[in-house]
Order: sequence, then structure tokens, then C-alpha cells
Amino acid sequence: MRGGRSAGLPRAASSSPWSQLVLGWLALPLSAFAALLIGALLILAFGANPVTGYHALLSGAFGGSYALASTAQKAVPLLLVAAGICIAVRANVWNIGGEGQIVMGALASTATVLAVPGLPAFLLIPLVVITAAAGGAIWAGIAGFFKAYFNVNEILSTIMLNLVAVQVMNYLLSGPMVNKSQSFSVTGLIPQTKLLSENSWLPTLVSGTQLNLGVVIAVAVAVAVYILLWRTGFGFRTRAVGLSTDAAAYAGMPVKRTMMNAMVLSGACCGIAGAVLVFGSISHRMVTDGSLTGFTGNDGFNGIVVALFGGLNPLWSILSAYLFGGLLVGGTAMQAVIGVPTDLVTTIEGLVVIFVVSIDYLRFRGRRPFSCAQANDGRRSRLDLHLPQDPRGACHIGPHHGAARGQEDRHRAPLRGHARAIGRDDGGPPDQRRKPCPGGTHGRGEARGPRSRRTRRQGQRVGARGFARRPCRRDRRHRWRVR
Amino acid sequence: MSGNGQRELGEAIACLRPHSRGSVKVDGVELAGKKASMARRAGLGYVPEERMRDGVIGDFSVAENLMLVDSDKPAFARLGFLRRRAIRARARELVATFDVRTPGIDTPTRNLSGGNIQKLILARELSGRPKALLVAQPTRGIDVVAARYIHDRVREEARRGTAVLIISEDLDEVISVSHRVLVMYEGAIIGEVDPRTTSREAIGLMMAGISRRDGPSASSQDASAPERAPVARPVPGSEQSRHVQPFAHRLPEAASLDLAWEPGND
Repeated sequence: MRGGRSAGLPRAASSSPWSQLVLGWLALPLSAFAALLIGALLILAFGANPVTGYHALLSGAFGGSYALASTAQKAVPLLLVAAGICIAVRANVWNIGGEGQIVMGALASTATVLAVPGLPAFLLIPLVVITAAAGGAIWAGIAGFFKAYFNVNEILSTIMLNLVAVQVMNYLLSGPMVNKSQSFSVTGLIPQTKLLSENSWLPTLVSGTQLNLGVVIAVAVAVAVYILLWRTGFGFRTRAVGLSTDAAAYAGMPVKRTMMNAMVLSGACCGIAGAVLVFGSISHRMVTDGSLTGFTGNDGFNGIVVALFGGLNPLWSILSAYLFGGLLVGGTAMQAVIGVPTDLVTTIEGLVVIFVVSIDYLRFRGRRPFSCAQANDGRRSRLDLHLPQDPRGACHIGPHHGAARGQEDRHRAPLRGHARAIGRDDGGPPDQRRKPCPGGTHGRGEARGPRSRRTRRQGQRVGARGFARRPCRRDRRHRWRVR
Repeated sequence: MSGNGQRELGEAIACLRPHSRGSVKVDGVELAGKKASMARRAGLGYVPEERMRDGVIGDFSVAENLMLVDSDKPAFARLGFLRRRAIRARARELVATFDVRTPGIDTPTRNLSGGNIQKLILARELSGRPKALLVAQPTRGIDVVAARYIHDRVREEARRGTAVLIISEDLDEVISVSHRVLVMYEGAIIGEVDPRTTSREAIGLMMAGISRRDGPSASSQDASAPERAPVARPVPGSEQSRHVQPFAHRLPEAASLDLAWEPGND
């Protein structure tokens, strides 16, 4: 997995092994845990028992072979979309149009089966997968083309294309592709296709469950995407473009083409998810209720969450998809048992995203080329406290203290960064000079040499006459601002 | 002095910036209007000015950055698949040859010091056996030892017959490594001098826009004098830049980097 997890999760910002652990490996489990914790509070707010609720959720998702199989089945489209998202986001294009691409993939493959229903299964199923991939790829390719060559924001264009896709679906399913032989009802024909050729059905793997060939397809796609991203020249270029278009252009890589191809492949994965939704369904026909969610079950968006939670690595996304599939399946069970809406599960998902993204932010801030002291004009937040200490040891170089101890400073290493900028009282108008601290004794009575933060935090200092003194208020206020 | 078109010139030579006129030739191969990949294929090596932005990808490992420009070369990719063993073997070799101080070839490049990153970039560019080497700000912000090492490597490369163009703001560097110095002022080459015979003051005046031909008083009125503008040179190892110097000793087999442009204010 080298190049996998480590590539997916940039190294933790600080050198401290603890923050490395928390920001690196424990980041995702912790964010999931935090999200579930807040979810528990919400369940409480609904007046239900969160323990019962989560128990129902867990047993509904993972209790018994039927539950496990349903979860796997639910995870299949999530995983396919997530694999696609991995490609796109690695190239730094955000494909928010998974929904539309699922629909277009489903439409393309359904149309194929309607056109050639007689092919034997071993031909028809690969054909279904290929046409579905093509449908999704074309739909994503539109956004990718305009992104790459005309700099059209891909987030907006993919979302807009979702809206177009749903109308295309509604038109096709109620017009050209509608099942004309259904019994007439008052409201007209139900917008659905006829029962699709049995040869196109994805064969069930374990009888008595819903588990079908889709699982194999999804895992194969995830593995293929992993190989593509980390073992091929195309993947190398994709990741290079995603991390730095400047460096990629400098290296002579075709930046625009790579972006567009990443989008196309991303759409292809989503398109396959559409085929699985149709040919792995129980009804074996394509139906619409007029909305996107009605057909996709929000998989196009949930897949993004899955990919993020999987560290943008398709192999970890397998696990992540299974967990989120469990959350969705178990959410239904939880609703049945304690009567909270399944939307709560959506909320938990959203919380996971928020936590994952914020941890990414924390991880990122330490990697800035300049220390926060320089970047923020000396203002440090508590989050920076784990950064390596000033090697001079003394973390308190208040302006007035620097002046008071002018003679000591000669024996010290030069001040750096912000400390140098403000660390000396080098004159200036007398009325603007820092006055000696009314508490007195700064500098004079202090122990020399490095001082641990621990002593400092206890807030006690040896005064001039040997009294233990509390630092003055200004001192306390500035304690962490300047080292 | 920066801000007189040096960076733009460098990027234009490397085909990272569209050309409006003029010509760039590497050993006779015309690059004007071509893409960066074609410049590389023609044998141009380029050490960029912004090494963290353009030269390497900080999140990539040392090994990955060492093959950044080679991801489609058959030596490292077979049927589109990366040949990891070959890549790692060469990365180890380059790290050793060029004395890149790194804990390992899998270390993220952003953890390296500026000098080591510059050595890494130089290693990558030189390993491609360039015919012409363009080095922008070779030692800016780099420690003395690494800077010296880089100068030595670049000189050695010039001795081998590679046309080397250095774009630098460090006058000492320009004078000590160059054979010819071209001074840029306000987007144009204001003149060429021989660093061995020209005083720093003279070069300094040119940097301020005072050409040697002009009296100090007649400084900039004729900045657009036509006789000065076209710079076309079929000499092995020529180049332009604010301070320039190709090291190419005039070896018969020396490669060339020829630039030419017409007067104009682009």
C-alpha cells in the first residue's frame, strides 16, 4: 500500500509523534467517532435512546449474512462513484456530477439492452458495463472539456449537468423508452422501461441475498483505479497535475488533456454505477419518479463522502464504502426501531465530511512554507503550540524584557522571525517605548538558560528578592504570542 | 536587476509562455510556438526560478520528482505502466551522484532543504543529457556549499559542450561563472560584455539602463535603437538574459541555444 495511504494522507504537520498520530492515522476514525457522538446527541434530542438506536443501526447493517449482503449491495454504487471521485480529485478537478453521470450511464446501458436484448449474457453484461461507462464518461467529459480548455468551473457545470440529466431521463423514460404495454392508469403511463432482458441481469452470487456480480465489478474497478493512479504514467501525470499545474506544465505534461481525461474516467466509473443500479436491482427495469434521488438514492453525492473518508484512495474506499453502506442500510433499521428519521444518518454523514475536511485543514496549515509567526504577523493560535520550540529555550521574549536584559542577549542566539521584528526596544519615540512591567523584576530574577514550558505554565517565577511572583497581567497575556 | 524581463525570457525559452515573435533554436531545432514537452524533446533542460512551485512537487517523493519529466519515456514506463524498479534504481543513483542529502528516496520532497531540492532538480535535468541547459537563479536562497556544488556541476556541463544559459541576479555569480554576459534592461538586451575584461561598475551601469556606447548622459532616449535589438547568434552556446553566460567553450561539437527576436515591445 506504499504510495497509497501515505500518498492519500499528507504527512502530519508537526514533528510531535502524537499530533502525527492524531492528524495522520487516527484522523478518519476520530472524525467518524465525533460525528457519531453528535449523532447520539441528536437522537437524544428526538427523545430516543441513542444506545438502542446505534445497536439497531449496527445489527441492521452488519448483523447476519442477509444484512451484510444488503450492506455490500448498497456499497457497490457508492464504491464505484468513490473510485471515480478519487481520479477526479487527484487531478484537482471536483466532480460533483456523479448523480447525472450515474443517470446517463444507466440510460446508455438500458438503451443498449433494449436495442439488442437477444445477446447472450457473457456478451451482454460486458456490453452493458462498457456502454454505461461511455454514457457517464461523455457526460463528465462535457464538464471536463470546458474546465480544461475554457476554464469553466467544473463544480458548477457538473451540478448543472445533473439537472439536465434528470430531465433527459424523465423524457426518455416517459417517451422513447417507456414500456408501452403496461396497463393504462388514470395518470397515464408510468415512466419506466419494460422488464429488461434476462441476459442482462447481473447474476446473484449468494442465493437468498441480493449480493450480485456488481460487487465484483465494483471491487475490480476500485483496484483498477488504484493501479491506474499509482502504477501508470497516466496516473503519475494525473497526480502531478492535481498537486501542481505549474510543475506539471514545467515538466512538459499535457495539463489540460490530463484534467479532461481524469474527468472522463471519473464519469466512466459513475456511469458503471448507473448500470449496477439498473441491472442489479430487484425490479430489473429503469424507473423514475421524476427526481434524481429517486433513481440514484443520492449515491452520486454520498460517493464523494466515501472517497474523502477513504483518503482519496480507491482501496481504502472499499472499506469506506462498506461502512457508509452499512450506515445507510442501518439507518433504515434504526428508523424502524426507535422512530428517528433516516435523515439523521444523512446528518451524520455530513458531520463526517465536516470533520474530515477540518482535519485536512489542520494537517495542511503546518505545511505552509512560512511559520505562522511570519504568516500571521506574529499572532499564534493555541493550535500552533505543538510546533517545535524556539531552540533558544526561552519562549518569552516580550519586548520589554528584551530591553531589560540587553546585556544577556549578547550571549544568546540571534532572535528569529517575529521575535527579531519586535523583540528589541530599539528606541523610537520615548512615549511609545514599552514601559517596564509594573510587576517589576522581569529578567533580573529569572533563571538563565532554557526554561521548560512546564515551569512557565505554572506561572511562578522567582522574583528579585527571592519571592515567588505571579507574572504580571501583560506577561500572562503575551505568554504564547511570542517566543 | 529583476523585473526587466528575465523571468519572462526564461519561461519563453522553455516554451512555458506563448511566443509572439522571434525564434528559439536548440541545436538548430526551432522551438518558437511549440509546447514545453517539445522543448524538452529537443534537448532543453530547464532549472526554473521558482523551484518549489515549478521545479518539484512538494508532496511527491524524491524518486517521483526525479522522474517528473520522464513519465512517458520507455525507460521508465512500459505500455503505460511505470517501471518502478528502474525508477527507484535511477533515483538512488542520482541521489548518490548529485549528493542530494535526503533520508531516503521515498521522503516527501518538501522536507528537503532548498539546496538539496536544487541539486535534485539539477540532477533530473542533467540526467536527461540536455543539449542546452537553461538555469534560472541557480543559487538564490541556497547555502554556500550547495551553491558551490551547483556552480561546479554547471561549469562541468558547459565544458562537456552543453550550451548553458544562466539567468541570475547575483552579480558575483554571473561574473565568476560566465563566459559572456548579456545585460537585460526593460525587456531588452542592452548589451553584451566579457566578464573577464569588464568591471562590475560597467555592468552595473548597464543594469541601470546605461549602455556602454551611450555617454552616461545619453542614457535611455535611444533604448529602442534598432541596431541594438536583434540578437541572433549562431555561435555555439549562446543565450540571452539579464546576465548571461554560456559556459560552452567553443568546442566543435558543442550544442547551441540560439535566440533571436525582433525589436518590439512585447
